[in-house]
Order: sequence, then structure tokens, then C-alpha cells
Amino acid sequence: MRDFSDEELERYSRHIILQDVGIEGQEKIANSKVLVIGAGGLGSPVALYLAAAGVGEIGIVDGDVVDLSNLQRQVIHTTADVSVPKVLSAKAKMEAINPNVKVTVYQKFLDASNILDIVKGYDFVIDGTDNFSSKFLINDACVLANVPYSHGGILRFGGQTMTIKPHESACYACVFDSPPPANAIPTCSSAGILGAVAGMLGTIQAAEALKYIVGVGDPLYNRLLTFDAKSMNFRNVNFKKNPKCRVCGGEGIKEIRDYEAVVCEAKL
Amino acid sequence: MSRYEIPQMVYDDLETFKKNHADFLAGTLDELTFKTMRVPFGVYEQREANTFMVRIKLAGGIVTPKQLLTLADLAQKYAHEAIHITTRGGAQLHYVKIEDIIDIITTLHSIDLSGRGGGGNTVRNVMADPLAGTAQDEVFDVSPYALAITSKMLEQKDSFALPRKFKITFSGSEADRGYATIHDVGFIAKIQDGVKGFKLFTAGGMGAKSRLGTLLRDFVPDTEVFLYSQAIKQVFDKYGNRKNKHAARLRFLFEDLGLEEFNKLLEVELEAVKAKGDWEMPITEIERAQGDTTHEPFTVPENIKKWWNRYVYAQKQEGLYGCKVPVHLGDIHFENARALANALLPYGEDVIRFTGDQNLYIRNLTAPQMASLHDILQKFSVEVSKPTLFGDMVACTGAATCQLGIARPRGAVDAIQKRLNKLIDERDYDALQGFKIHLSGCPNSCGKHLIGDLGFFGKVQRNEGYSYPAYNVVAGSRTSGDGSVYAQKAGDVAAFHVPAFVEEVLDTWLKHVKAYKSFADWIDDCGLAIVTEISKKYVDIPSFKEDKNPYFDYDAVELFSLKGRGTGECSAGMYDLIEADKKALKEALEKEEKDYELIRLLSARMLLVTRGEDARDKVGVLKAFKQHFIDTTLLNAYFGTMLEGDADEKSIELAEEVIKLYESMDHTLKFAKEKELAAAANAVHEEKAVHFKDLSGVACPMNFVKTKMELSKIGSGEVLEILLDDGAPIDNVPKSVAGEGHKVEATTKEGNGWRVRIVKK
Repeated sequence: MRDFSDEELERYSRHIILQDVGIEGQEKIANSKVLVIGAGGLGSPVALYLAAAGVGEIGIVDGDVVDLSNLQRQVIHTTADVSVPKVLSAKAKMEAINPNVKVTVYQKFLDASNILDIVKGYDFVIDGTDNFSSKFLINDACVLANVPYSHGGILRFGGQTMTIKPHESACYACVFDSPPPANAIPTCSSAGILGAVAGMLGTIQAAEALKYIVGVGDPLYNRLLTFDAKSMNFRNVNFKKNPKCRVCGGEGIKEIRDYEAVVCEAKL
Repeated sequence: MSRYEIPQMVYDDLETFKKNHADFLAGTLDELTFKTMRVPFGVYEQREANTFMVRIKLAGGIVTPKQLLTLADLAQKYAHEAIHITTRGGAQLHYVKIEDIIDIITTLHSIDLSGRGGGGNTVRNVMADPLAGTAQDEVFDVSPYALAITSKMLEQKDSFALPRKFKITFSGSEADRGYATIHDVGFIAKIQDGVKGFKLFTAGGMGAKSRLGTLLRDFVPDTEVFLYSQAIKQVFDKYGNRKNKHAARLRFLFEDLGLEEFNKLLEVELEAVKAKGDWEMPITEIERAQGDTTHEPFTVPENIKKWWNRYVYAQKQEGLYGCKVPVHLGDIHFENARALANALLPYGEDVIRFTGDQNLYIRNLTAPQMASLHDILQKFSVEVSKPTLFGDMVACTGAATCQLGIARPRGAVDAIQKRLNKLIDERDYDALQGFKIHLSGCPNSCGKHLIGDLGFFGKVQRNEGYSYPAYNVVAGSRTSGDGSVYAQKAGDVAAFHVPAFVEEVLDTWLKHVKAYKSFADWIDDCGLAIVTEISKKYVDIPSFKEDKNPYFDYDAVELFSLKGRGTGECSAGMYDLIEADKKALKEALEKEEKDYELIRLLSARMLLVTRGEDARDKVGVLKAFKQHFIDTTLLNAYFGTMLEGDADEKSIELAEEVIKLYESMDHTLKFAKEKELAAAANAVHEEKAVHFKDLSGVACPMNFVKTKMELSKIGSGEVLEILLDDGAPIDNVPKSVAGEGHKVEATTKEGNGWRVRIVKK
């Protein structure tokens, strides 16, 4: 058993008091490695909460720099960070919150050539990306590398998320199969997003990651949680693992390839 | 005198309880503290939160008409209209609201009934032969002893904090209808040299690791009944296993000690009880009618003759009759109870007995009086108008509500009854008078399968990877003191086929019933092989694709699965699963052309159930196996490499290693290696038996956080002592620690603060 210092005991006391977490759970958190893909609207709250929670190692991936239009929702970055690479801006805030956390930065966009190597080294992955091709790519990589992850997506006033344990619960492709055609969806820049909605969904993803690490509760397996912030209605849509799923079913996929990019212009 | 005596202490406690109850309702007393107050009064929470039941002691199942009338009133007013007969012949009121319990307890006291020690680790309701005082074959009436010892045991403080429950019973004859050999303390009436007394059996019990009681004394004079019961109880109290709930009953202690050592300890306690004095137990005989001496001939009316022949019996007192009333699942509607009580009021106090098989008997009536009850009794259950076979079926609740359950025997009973009911006009089921079919959902004997003529207990079978509910079949028990024998294993059947199986066994037995004295005789002679042969027809089921129905248990809406089942004592059901895989694995290993893929899958799957995993598909199985057996270092990492890619000849090594591991597993599902690992982890702490942390000056909640940190460093069962400040720390930390399941053993004042002694769970 790891011996937490007095400083750590005090820092994590509100976790440790929880019967379902306790010393043992906090130790699991301290020994865990989580990868956050995207340091934007979703990645901001996730990275902040995971760092605060004491996740031992956090990897953060983003190839972009901070833009003034990001600040309306990407709360890990400040006005002074405009034009700074997002991963560096994020790392500074995470370390400021909790110096015990080791932050690894990947200042790049993920594609078929690099994703598998990065994902492999982590216990859990957060999808905080803003486009379908990345989401399907992350799904493929996590299924291939057998790493559980949290899918998340937001648009206008709505959000959706599910947690995937490859080969055990339904994967993203079991539910959606493949990316929609390029002209079928509104571009994000024209659609817009309420900043606080990003915070709502991101914190749900962070909670799912921590639940998985500690081994407590029921993760969002085989169900998609969706909400509409206008009505503030939340609902669960249940799915089953598709035995014939293109990605995780019978034959399944054998290798990673890129999906046709349908990147939206405004970063979530 | 048909009542036991409630000691003054109970009445005194009620006054305190009333105050606590008011505080609890007002929200100033916490739930946990209140629980410790209500339980001694026999008030227990049901599965459903905030719904309570009140358990009521009825010594020897004795209930007077007046008491029954009041119970009916209580049931109507507070308890969903039903009086429930328990498996120890006591009574329960269910679905009681917490606001009403003071009224209920006060009313019960007014009719000389108490719930004290109804549940928990106490002396439970004392039972007696339901025919005591009326049976033709009895040596003498044992009912007064059940009443007297109940009064005596209620007075003893140590009756309420034993290592586990403690059960006492009395039988009036060698027929042992009180089941002396399956109790902690069982008495069978005997007269020796003109002195009344008993054969004394001890340390019997069903449940997991069932054991028939050992004959401890061939004769104990009746004046020493309390002396012996109390002394045995004191041995149990001092030496019983309080740590492991599953090995706590007296029979486990007895097995550990052996007869000789047990007797030595018993002698010491016998002397101690004698030295304390007041061990002689006053006996007041029960007054009863002297029988019908008018000798007026009575002809049973034609329309009730069938019922009369099935259920009414002639008592040893000439001209008096008793009658068995089957009660469906032990529930009596208050209107039926009231009608019966009113009808019986003129006939004295000793006219009703509740029984451990959750039925009731009426007694001490003349033939015309008994006949006049026919219409009232018809309303008690549909079984009243059927052969005894129907009413005598016993089933526990099983997986429907019990955490340990595997199968759902109540649903199976309904299915058996439905099937047999269709044949009721074609078959002479009355020829099987007294035949007992008992079902339990798991190897624990709550459904008393070990003492049925035909018994069943739940298990799991697999077909092409799918689990389905099934039963072990046992047959041919005998209960008669020294000659008691538990039913013996006769085969396995799918739950789905149980009704058809029962039908065929009964049909076969009906052909032989005239040639044998009892079913057990037939089983011993040649019946066992025949029943086994029949069972073979009913164990296999169609594939999942062909017919899904056999993969659902009775009354279940979900596919059969072990998920959600607690481990507990039911681990025996797991062994069936493991053995099935092991058998298949051995077969696969013996084949010329080896299917390595299959060998690997079976090896990986075989022991997964011991870790609570239910994976079926290859990916899931291999992954879970890696997690539970490789990552935990139970198996060398080398075997982990065999899980990747296609299986090859190395799978044989894996199979051998897994079988070896299984052989090292003990009954708590722990492997030898696991124990070594745990021992190595504990060894570090051994030099200091008691761990200590000074938390004085540390405020809430950090003192609790630090306590948890210290607890995380020590092994289960080890002791941690902490120092806490007065005020909020001592008020909160011990409560929080106990709330997480650890035991707070002692709290002592030390200086300005407190020393708290904690045993880690």
C-alpha cells in the first residue's frame, strides 16, 4: 500500500472519506494513466478535474494554438494564452492545480500513423475532439489497443456521451457504424455552441473516467446519455453490442486507416 | 397454562424503547442506534426499506384462540391483513409501519407474547412435536418443556448475544416429529426407571455442511433440561467462532472439538450453571379436556369424508381428534384466523399449534366439533381440499429474493402442483399420504430438502456455453432419533423438467407403495437406482437456439444467470460449473487430435466463476483470465503469453497448471498461492500486534482520513488503536469507521481525549 503524505491526504481527503473510494481508490487514481485527446471545450474541464483528482499521469493531445474565439468555452486557457500551443497552456494550469500530476504533451493532431502508439500506453482515453473522422479513428484505435474510453460530442445546446469497454460493451461504430456524408451535417461554425454545455459534458466524461479507474458504479456502457440544455432533459438510450460490428464484431478491424476528414472550422 | 412468561426486564425495556422510538420518529435518534433498540423486540427491517416485520415467539407453536384473535386484529390493522407462520412455528406480521410498532408490541405483551430473540444470534423460538400431548405414540407431553425453557431462556442475558443462532426442540417419541437431530439441542422423550427424561442430541443442523446431531446423553432427567441447554449454550458462547459467520453454528465448533473435548468443556459449564443456582425448571402441565366420554357414535358425513381421511387423526385421548390444516406458504388471512379463533374459543386454550412446516394443527376436539370446522378450514388454502402431497410441499424463496439463491423453488412448486393437479382424478395420490417434496434454491437447506422424501436443491448446468437452472435430486430421508438419515443424492434434473420428473417418480412409487413400509425403505431397497435412472431422462435440455424456455427459471423474466448472486455459502453451486469445465477439459486433453483452441478456452474459463466472472465469449474469457490469474501473479507471467494469438500445443501446459491451481483451492475459494501472498503481506505487520496512531489535535475530517490511511496499511482482523480529541472527533470518527464495516471494539477515556480500538474488517 502506498503511503500518502500528509499533504496528499489532506488534498484528497474528500475523496478518501467516500466509502467507495477510500485510500484504495485514491491509490488506484494515483497509479492511473489517462489520455485526453483535444484540449478544447471538452478537454478543458476533463483535464482540470483529472489533474485535481490526482490522476498519476495525464497525456494531452492537441496540435492547435489558443484562439480568442476559444475562450468562450475552453476554460483551461486564459486571455494571456492566445497564440500559445493549447497543450502547453493546458499543462501549465494542470500543474498549477496539482504539482503531483505528471503531464505529457503531444503537440500534434492524431492520425492513423501515430494514434495507436500513443493510445496503447494509457488505461483510459477521453475523446474530446470536434469531428467525426477523429471520433471514428479514436474508436478504431481504442478497440484495437483494447483501451476503454469515453466518447463525447456537443452541438448548440445538446450533448451526448457514452463509455466504451472494447469487446465487452457496444463501441461507437456499433451505434453509428460510420461517419455521416460530408454534406449531411451542419458545420460547427454555423451551428454554434453554448459554452457551459461543453463544461457539462466534459465533467460527465471526467466522472466516467474516475469511476472506471476506481471501479465504482455503472459506467455508461451500452447506453448513450444525451441531454438538451434548453429543456434540461437528460435521457439514456440503450444499445447492444453489435455482433456484426464493422469495428469490434466477429472479424472486426485489423488495422488503422484514416477516415475522410470532415473537420469543422470552429474548434469546440 | 399454555403460555411462557415474559421477564420483567422486557417490560422495563419497553419504557426506554418508547422514548427512543419517539426520538427516532422526531429525527433526533439515528437509524443505526435505533436498530439496536428495535431488534431485541423482534422488529426487523424487510428487504423493502422502511418496511418492518415483527417476529413473535410461540413456544412449541402454541397459540391460544384468544391470542390468535388478537393477532388477527393486528394483522388487519397493521400488517397487510396476514399472519405469517414461520419455519420455526412462530408468527410474523409483515409490512408493518414504524409508527405502529409500539402499539403492536404493547398489544402483544397484553396477550403474553414477545418477539424478544426472534432473530439474530439468539436462542430462537423453541419448537416441539406438533402432535405433542395428542400423539398415540408419544412417551409423554413435551409441550410444557418448550414453554418452560422459553421462559427460562428469556431471563438469561447471554441468550441474546451468541456467536450465531441457537435452536432447541422437543420430540415426544422416537418418530422425532420435533426434528431433534437437526437442532443445536434436541430432546426426545424417554422414561427410565419410572423417571421422566430425555435423550439429548446436540450439534445438528442443515444448511451448508449439514450435520446430524450427536447423541450426547442417553438419558437426562427432565429436571435437568435447562441445566444441559444452558451449559451447552455457555460452551457455544465461550468457544464458538464469532469471526466467520459461515462457520459459526454449534455444529462447526463440535466438529472442531470432537465429542471428548466437547464433553470436557461441557462438564465445566454444567458445574458453573449448578453453582449459580436456580437451574431447576418448574413444569406446569397443560390442562386439557379429558376426552369425550359420552361415547356417542359419530358418522363422518359423506361430503367431508375425503378431507377427514386425509387430515383428521384420532388422538391418544379416546374420543378426541386433531387435524392438520395446510396453509399456503404460511400466510393466514385475518378473516380466516378470526373465524377459526372464534369457533375454537369455547374449547379451551390448547386447541391450536403452528408448525415448522408453516402449517397449523387443530386439536382436542370431539368428532362433531371437528366436523363443524370443515367449512371454515376450506377457506384456508386450496390444498385443504387436495391430498396431503400438495400441502406438504416446502420451498424456500430462492433466487427470487435471496442473495444466495441459485434456482427459484417456489415457482417450481407451483409448476409441480399444476402438473399433478391435472392428474388428480386419475392417480391415487391419497395413497401417498404424508409424502414430502422439499425444495431449496441452493445447497443451504432453507427448504429442508435433506429431510424430504424427495428433495431438490438448486444448481447450475451448462449447455453449449449457456447456463440453465437445475436441481440436485435427493431421496429417502428418515427422521427418528438415532435412526435419522438425510436424503441421499439420486441425480440431477433441469429445473424445466422438475414437474415431469416428479410425476414419473410418483407414478413409479405408486406401483410399489403397497409393498413397502415407507418411501425410504423402497429407496434403500431398489428405489434409489430407479429414481437415478428416471432423472437421467430429465437433465438434458434442447439447445438455446431450439428452445429458450428451459434457460429461464420459473417466474423469471430474465435469462438464468448467476450475476447478482452473493458468494456466501452458496459456493457449492460454483463447483458444479467448475467440474463441468474440468470434465470437458480432461476429455479434450485425452483426444488424439487436440483442439488447442478449445483447451485454452476451457482452461481459462474453468476457474473464472470463483472470481465472480460470467464471461462466455473467447475474448471476454481470455481477458478476464489475464486480469484475475496472470496480473494477480497467481499464475506465472509465462502463461500470459499463451493467451495472445492462436492457441498452440503450449495450451496443454496451461491446462495442467489451471488444474493444479484448482486442486489447491480451499472451500473459501482461496488458492494456496493466494494465501501465501496474503501471509507475506501480513508478515510485515506481525511484529507489532496492535497498530497505533495518535490523532489528538487532528480535526475532522482529517482524523477520519488518517484513520482510513492507517487501516489501509494493516491486514483484516488486525487491530488499530487511535487517540482522538473529545467533542466532534469522538462523536464522529468511530461512527464513520463502523459505518465502513470495521469493528469498533472499545472506546476508553484517556487524558482529555479518547482511545479507540478498531478491528479491521
